[in-house]
Amino acid sequence: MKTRGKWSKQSMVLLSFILGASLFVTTALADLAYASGYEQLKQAVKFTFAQMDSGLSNYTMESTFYMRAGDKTVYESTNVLKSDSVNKMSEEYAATTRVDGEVYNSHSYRDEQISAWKSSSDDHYYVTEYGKINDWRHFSDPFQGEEIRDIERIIDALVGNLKDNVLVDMGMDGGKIYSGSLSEAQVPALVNAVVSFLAKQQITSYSYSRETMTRKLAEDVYVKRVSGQAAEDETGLLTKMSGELVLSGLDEQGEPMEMVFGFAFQIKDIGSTAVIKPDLTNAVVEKPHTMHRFNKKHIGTYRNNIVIEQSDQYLKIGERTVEITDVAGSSVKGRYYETIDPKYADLYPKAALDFTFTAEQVDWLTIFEYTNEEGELRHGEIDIYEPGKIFLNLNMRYEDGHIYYEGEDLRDIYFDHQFVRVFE
Amino acid sequence: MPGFKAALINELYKIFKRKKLITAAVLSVLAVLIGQAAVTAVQAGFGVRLAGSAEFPLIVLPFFVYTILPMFATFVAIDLFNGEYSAGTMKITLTRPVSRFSVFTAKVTSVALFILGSLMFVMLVSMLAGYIFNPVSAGFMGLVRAAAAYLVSFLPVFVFSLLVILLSNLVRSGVTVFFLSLFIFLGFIMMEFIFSKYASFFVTSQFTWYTLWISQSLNILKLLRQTLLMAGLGIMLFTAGFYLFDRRDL
Repeated sequence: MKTRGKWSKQSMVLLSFILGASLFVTTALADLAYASGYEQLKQAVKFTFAQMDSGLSNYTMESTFYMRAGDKTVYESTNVLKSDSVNKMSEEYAATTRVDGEVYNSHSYRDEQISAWKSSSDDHYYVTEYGKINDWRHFSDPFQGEEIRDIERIIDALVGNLKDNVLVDMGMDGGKIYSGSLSEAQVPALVNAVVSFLAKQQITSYSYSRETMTRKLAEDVYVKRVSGQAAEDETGLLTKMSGELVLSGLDEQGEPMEMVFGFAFQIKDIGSTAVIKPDLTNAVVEKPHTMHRFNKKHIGTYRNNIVIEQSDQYLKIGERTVEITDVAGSSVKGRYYETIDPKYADLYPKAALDFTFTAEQVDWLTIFEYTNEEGELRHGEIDIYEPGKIFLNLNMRYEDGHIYYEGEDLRDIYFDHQFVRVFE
Repeated sequence: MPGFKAALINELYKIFKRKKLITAAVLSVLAVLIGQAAVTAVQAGFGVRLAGSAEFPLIVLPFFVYTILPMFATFVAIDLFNGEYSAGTMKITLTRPVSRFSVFTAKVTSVALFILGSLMFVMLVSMLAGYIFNPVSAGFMGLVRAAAAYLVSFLPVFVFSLLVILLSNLVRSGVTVFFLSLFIFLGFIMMEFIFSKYASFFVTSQFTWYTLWISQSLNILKLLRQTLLMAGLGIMLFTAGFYLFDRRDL
């Protein structure tokens, strides 16, 4: 009888343990398999960014940011971005309403050739002509980078249990509706304190608030509510997103007041957005420095003294000369040479340099090649300076669109790179 | 369970006789007062309100469940098992006409009551402090929220103490059990940050699950999963603990 009792106790223990273990393991597996609202929303955000970068042929994105103090709107900005990645065109309308009610508008347009910009303070479009195909890209997916994964992990860990407050519902159109709301009690104390403090500082330093805002939060500031909603369509794209942060507290007179910070995004007209190039008849056009600035007037001889310093005097031991012999199209031709006074030859131990060059425009630099006295290939850069002067750099290396200085050279000593025109 | 009631009264009597209970109470009150001083200082210095009267208990809670509460629950568990083994009083307990299961259950229940009692004590003290020092009126719902938060915080801390009880029956030295528990506690917290996707598996992550209960829209499925996870873990730990207790030679 005793043995049987012992056995049944052991089997009870075993059974109970198995029950606990099964409960734990199955729930754990279910928990893993179940993508939380937070995870689903994160995936939707990633997908949307990737689509905006290089998936959608065209779309319109509307975004609004606002800040309200009591029932007065302190700041509001609305942006409408139209993007057409097939024709590589985009335009953006922006309107900002300030606390004094003044509205500031702007319109900008961009394609591969030009970018144009116009604001409400002026009738003209200001156009920059690139002169060659420009890398048109209006949006780049922030999740493409490597380091973003680590940042994502840190954010996930910091969000912790708060991520369970993201709820998902099925939408009417087969998509999903995300929503989440945190009350004062749920906002962690530290987050509440930091946000309240930063917001308070921000409001105080907001330039317009000093003069025009009659009321602002001064004491007892706390995060009263944080809420957000988002809608995902059946393709997985987040078409709407909005959020609000409500700060509560007392104003400078000790009266209770609320401040609301909010945003709203909307992506619409996918596939039916047309970007229209604005009428640029009266535009102010600026061509950026894509061609060298030399012309015929720069042909001539330029000189730079080789001066060394001695304990009791400055001594001119020779001259560096640049002769510009021809300027045509994208190239500048000339000669560089050094003449050293024979009696000071021992003070300038290197062989005097003498070469002719043809400088070509590379990006925004006018660059030429030359061989130095040691037979090494080097690059030089030439540019115009104040009237009657040119600027010359030697002993450089040009690789992959970048210019590198090759360390100290004898010529660097007391060489200010400035050559003055010789008028004779 | 014949004799369970007697065994429980016996165990509770032992806890009440310990100085640790008073130390825990004093430390808890101190923590509440220090927390209140910090809240008042931040409010006066930065003009930022950390907590209204109803929120103050919720500021104290995470601090309490991550420090004083698990520490003293561990002390109590070690006292009731290792303490009795080393003092030789376990024999006296077991020679009473009570089954080993009843003794074990009474000890576990005592630890549970200690945790629940501590939570209620701190809740009342912090509510009182909240109402005295944070002159912002709170509605009835604020009170209910705070009470709910304190009540549900019992479960994860209790499951953790079951782990300590298991260790108490596995390892002879109370000091070793304490350090092992501390190591596991900190290890769990670290793991839940590193593997945030698997955070629910580490019971320390549920120490703040009260936020789920007081949220404006209840995430029922998540609550259910968390409850089942803790129940499963709790049953395993309780059974394994009892198995070791039952087989242990005195």
